[in-house]
Amino acid sequence: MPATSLSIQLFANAGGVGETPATHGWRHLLEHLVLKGREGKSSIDERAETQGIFITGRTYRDCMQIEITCEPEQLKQGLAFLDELLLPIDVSTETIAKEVAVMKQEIALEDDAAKLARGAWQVAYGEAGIDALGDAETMLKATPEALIELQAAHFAPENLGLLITGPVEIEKTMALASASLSRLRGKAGSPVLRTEPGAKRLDMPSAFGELRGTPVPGIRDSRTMAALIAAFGIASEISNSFVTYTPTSNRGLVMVGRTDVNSGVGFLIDELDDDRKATLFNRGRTLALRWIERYKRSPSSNSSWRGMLLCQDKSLRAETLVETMAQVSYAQYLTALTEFGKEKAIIVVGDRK
Amino acid sequence: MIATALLLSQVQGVRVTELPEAGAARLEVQAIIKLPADLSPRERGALAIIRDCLTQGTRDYSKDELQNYALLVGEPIKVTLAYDHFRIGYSLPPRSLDVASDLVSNLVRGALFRDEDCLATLALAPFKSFPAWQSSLSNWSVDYRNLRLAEVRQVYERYFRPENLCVAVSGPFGVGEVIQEFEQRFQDWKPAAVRRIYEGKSQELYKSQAINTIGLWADISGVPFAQLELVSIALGLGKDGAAFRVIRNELGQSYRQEGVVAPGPKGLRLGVVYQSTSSDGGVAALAALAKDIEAWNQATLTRSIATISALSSLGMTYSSIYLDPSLPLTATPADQAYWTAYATANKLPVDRRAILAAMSTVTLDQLKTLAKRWASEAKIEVNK
Repeated sequence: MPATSLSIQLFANAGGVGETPATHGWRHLLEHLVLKGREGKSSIDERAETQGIFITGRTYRDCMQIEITCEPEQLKQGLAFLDELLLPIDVSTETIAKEVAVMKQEIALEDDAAKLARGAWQVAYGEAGIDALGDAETMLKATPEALIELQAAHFAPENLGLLITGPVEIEKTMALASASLSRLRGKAGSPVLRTEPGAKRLDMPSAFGELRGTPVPGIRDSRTMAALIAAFGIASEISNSFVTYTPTSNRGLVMVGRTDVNSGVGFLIDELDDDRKATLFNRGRTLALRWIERYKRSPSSNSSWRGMLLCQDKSLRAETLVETMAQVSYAQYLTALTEFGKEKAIIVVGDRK
Repeated sequence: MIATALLLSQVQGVRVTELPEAGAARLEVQAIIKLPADLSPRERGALAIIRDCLTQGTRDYSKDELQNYALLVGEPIKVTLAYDHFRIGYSLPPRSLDVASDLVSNLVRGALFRDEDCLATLALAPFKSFPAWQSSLSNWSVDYRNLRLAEVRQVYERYFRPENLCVAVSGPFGVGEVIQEFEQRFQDWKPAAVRRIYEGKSQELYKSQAINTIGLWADISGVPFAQLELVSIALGLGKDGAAFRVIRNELGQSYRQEGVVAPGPKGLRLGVVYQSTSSDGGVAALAALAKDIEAWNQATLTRSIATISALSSLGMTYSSIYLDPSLPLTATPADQAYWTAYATANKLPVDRRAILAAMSTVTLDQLKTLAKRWASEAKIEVNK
């Protein structure tokens, strides 16, 4: 089906600017401030939406995403908005305080699945697994100068991947895109080092639900794919369940859980018989493949998948993942399933009353 | 983009609409069971059990078979309960209309509701948490206490009847094929006589987040749907919508805020819903929005129309229409079929493009008048 939209997505790898307890949430705050546009101009959102152009952003542990969605013939306007967003932020301590007030509301909205996942990351990787959502008090300590410096480092050319998906002329688009990014300077640092976990279980009185997770190597590794197959297979047995994994070339976490009630996930995993394991292999692989193949759905999902991979590893393609997934053996899947068992898995239980 | 051809047929009271879409990669099947507005908490409890048990097995399909059909295109079956309807959504490969009609037929008149499945669901039901946003949009309570399996089956028989069912199917098929298939499938449907169940007391649903969800709601009837939807967009769709500018940026009271059209006790209602830790109970937000509406100008109208037109053509996943409290309606073929089934059941305009065209004729005066009416009639509902 021909694409009817154009998706412009800039991904900035978090190389050298990963979260630490002292900067917890600064990247997220930076994303908010970048998307607000510079003061003194009329609202960037009003100007964009009046033309039917939409600007959004997201901050992940390993990267930041800025997305501009528009009609295919609005490429120039879309890139002009991206140019504007990449100017050094125009920020004061008052602006920071005002935006942190909004972000306090965002933090309060964190749902149970995200809370359980945050807990699992803490258990798995300690400080190296700190979330990107942030802590309001720590964000208030950010100074305008520190945020401007962070912006330059985060958006260093080496960290960036720009994806433009839709019906466009490639040469013309490349020329326009290169001009957009040419004035960016800065040097990328190294990614956060995530080492093997210590503890295995966390009880969270602030959340509700049950989650099991397993640490995995980067997305290029077949063990990660095997864990995804196992997680999707398990999830297919439980209504209202979720699987969480953010594609990364760094070490990550594959999680499966539910938040409607806080039991049933572990019991199901630990009691699987051989026949059911075989059934879930085929089903899990189908679902995991569909999850990867979401990139085919729309220009936005295509840019999103590819951009997330590209900004971390320039040789990584969505198609590579499909090939790796297809090669996962039944034995690898069974091993991965064991990793979700009660002896090995990271277990998080939310028992908010 | 779904083709203009809409074909509607009735067989045994079932309304079936087909939306041929040449080149589509799959069939989207959406079935709506229309529910009365005055359902008791007891009946809603039974319907919630039906929602959770419906795909556990039917007369002709096991649980695994039902799921495996859905997995052919990698989408789970969507079974949802909303204020005024029950929805079953299925995605299937092309050329499987016979499977589509058989699955719908099995789910609406052949679900087994085995004792063990229902008992397990019933045991968990009172302890389930419910997202706060959905609580605010659904605005109903349930009663599971001492609910008997016989009551669950009675509610299924009572509401899953041909005259309450609207089906819409989009995908790559010829004109008339869906109608023919479903006419054959449902021609022998003779539902059992209606039996009533007794009234029970309500029970609060568990909330999954420790935050207030505040709804500023008004029942607004007698207004063309296009105007209603356009006001909801001006109020709260997009980052230049009034709710984002006022409640989030000016007042700093929220991160999530939306203009919403959703089913309520008196039909569709118009609201602004936001989530906040603020304890002022929505008074400041409503007053600030009322003041903002006074200042709306031609740019407000232009932005609102540009926003909805672009969102529709770009296929983005935002909208102000929440038929199902969990997710807004989108421009995907599945949701277009969902809208068609819902609109058919509720005598609303079916063709989304005609609604968009009607929006472009709305004047600034009409927009502001309706928005002011909303601001003066809105009642504050706080879900803590």
